[in-house]
Amino acid sequence: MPYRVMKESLNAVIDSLSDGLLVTDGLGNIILYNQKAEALLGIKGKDALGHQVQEHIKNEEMVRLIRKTLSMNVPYHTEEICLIDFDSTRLRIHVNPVRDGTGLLIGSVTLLHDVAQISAIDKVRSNFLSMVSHQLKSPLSSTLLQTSILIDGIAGALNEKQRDLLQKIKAKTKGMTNLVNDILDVCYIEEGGYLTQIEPVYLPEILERSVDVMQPQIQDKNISLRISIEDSLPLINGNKSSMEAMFINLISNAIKYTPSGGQIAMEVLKKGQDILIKVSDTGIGIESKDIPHIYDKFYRVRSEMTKNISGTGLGLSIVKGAVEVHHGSIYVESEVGKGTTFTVLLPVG
Amino acid sequence: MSGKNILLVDDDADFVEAVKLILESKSYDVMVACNGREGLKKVETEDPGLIILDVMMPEMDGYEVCAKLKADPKYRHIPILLLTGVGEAIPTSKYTKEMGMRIEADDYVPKPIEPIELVDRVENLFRISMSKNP
Repeated sequence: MPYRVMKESLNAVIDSLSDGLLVTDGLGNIILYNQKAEALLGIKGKDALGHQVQEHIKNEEMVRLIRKTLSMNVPYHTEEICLIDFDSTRLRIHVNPVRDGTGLLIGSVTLLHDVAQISAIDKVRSNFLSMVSHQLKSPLSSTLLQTSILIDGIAGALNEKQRDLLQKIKAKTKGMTNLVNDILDVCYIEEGGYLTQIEPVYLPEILERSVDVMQPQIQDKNISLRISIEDSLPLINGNKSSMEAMFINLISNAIKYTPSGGQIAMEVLKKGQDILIKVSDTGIGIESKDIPHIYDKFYRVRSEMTKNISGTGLGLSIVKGAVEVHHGSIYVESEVGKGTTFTVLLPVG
Repeated sequence: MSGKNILLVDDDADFVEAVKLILESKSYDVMVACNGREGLKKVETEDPGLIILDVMMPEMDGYEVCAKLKADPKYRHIPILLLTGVGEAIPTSKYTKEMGMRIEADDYVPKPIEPIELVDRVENLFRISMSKNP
């Protein structure tokens, strides 16, 4: 087949994609893109060809990811995925390095996927879920209080059996309350509620507030908490509520899975272009077979040691969600019987 | 100062009934308002010694009522206990928790709350108030 015909067929093929496609060379010059990319990015015709990415792509996040992929120190196979809001469209972008036959990095390829369609359906489902959860909060709150009143004898003396049953009711009601709150946190992150409240955030302040909230639980288990925060940490452009949810859930997990008298250490420091947050505990640790699943919604480790630990199974999915909306990353190291360390990296600015 | 006389402002009837039970068992007198507007009116007519305000109420939320009261020299001295939602990401009112803290409520207590905790906070606020206004 003559080259020209092949090239035209190829163009026809990429213009038929329902996703946007954009290719750069190793220096960040745009060398190819399809019609969908033109439409999504607001580029006029082939104007952008031969130009640097930042000249024609008006989204800093996307440019940053392309630049990152083109930098020499990316792993051989890597993929940057990110949700960006561009004008009134929400796009999921995938950026991969392009390598030649010898493995040399020669460019980048970006796929732009419009998630609006899916989002609409998810939004309705998500909205309903948060509406229902909100409706459940008040009745659960009153029920918990009424049960506490009965248990404390304020409405009259109780016999042993009555108190026992009421304690069980109270425990279950508390469990439901936690579940409702966690569901609301998940919805908040997935619905993009955080997008309406992005501002400069000083992480140490959020950390301290979260520690305050968790104090009763820390003291109940006689756990010693050590916090080390670097001076003059830069601000992060982000969402306070989801950062708080992230800290609270990390600390909550550390407390739950650490026996009484154990230790938790938290560090916040600057590392390169990121802020690094570390939460370590001297807890029971996570078995390697469970590690791939710990961020799954409702996943709970089922073992002799964890059978008395209550929880919704949503904590780490909330943490991961919060980290991801800030374009950060999270990883875990753990040794059974010794403890677990979660490390979060959040890009600054 | 009007002694052990508490105004409870909350739109949740069950919660109100429960809190009343708890506080009355400790010999407090409890008056109730079911929304912000009614609450402000009752502050004027009943002269409470302490006000417990729920944050989540329709029309005028707890932060707004608190801000109005603290801005008024006639009522600024009355201790206010704000019942807030804690540990959940969804902002529960158009005021944020930070603004609430800057609005100078005298204490914050998360819902749900244990009866003992509530009584402790109330007694504490009365104690502080008495020492400030003997």
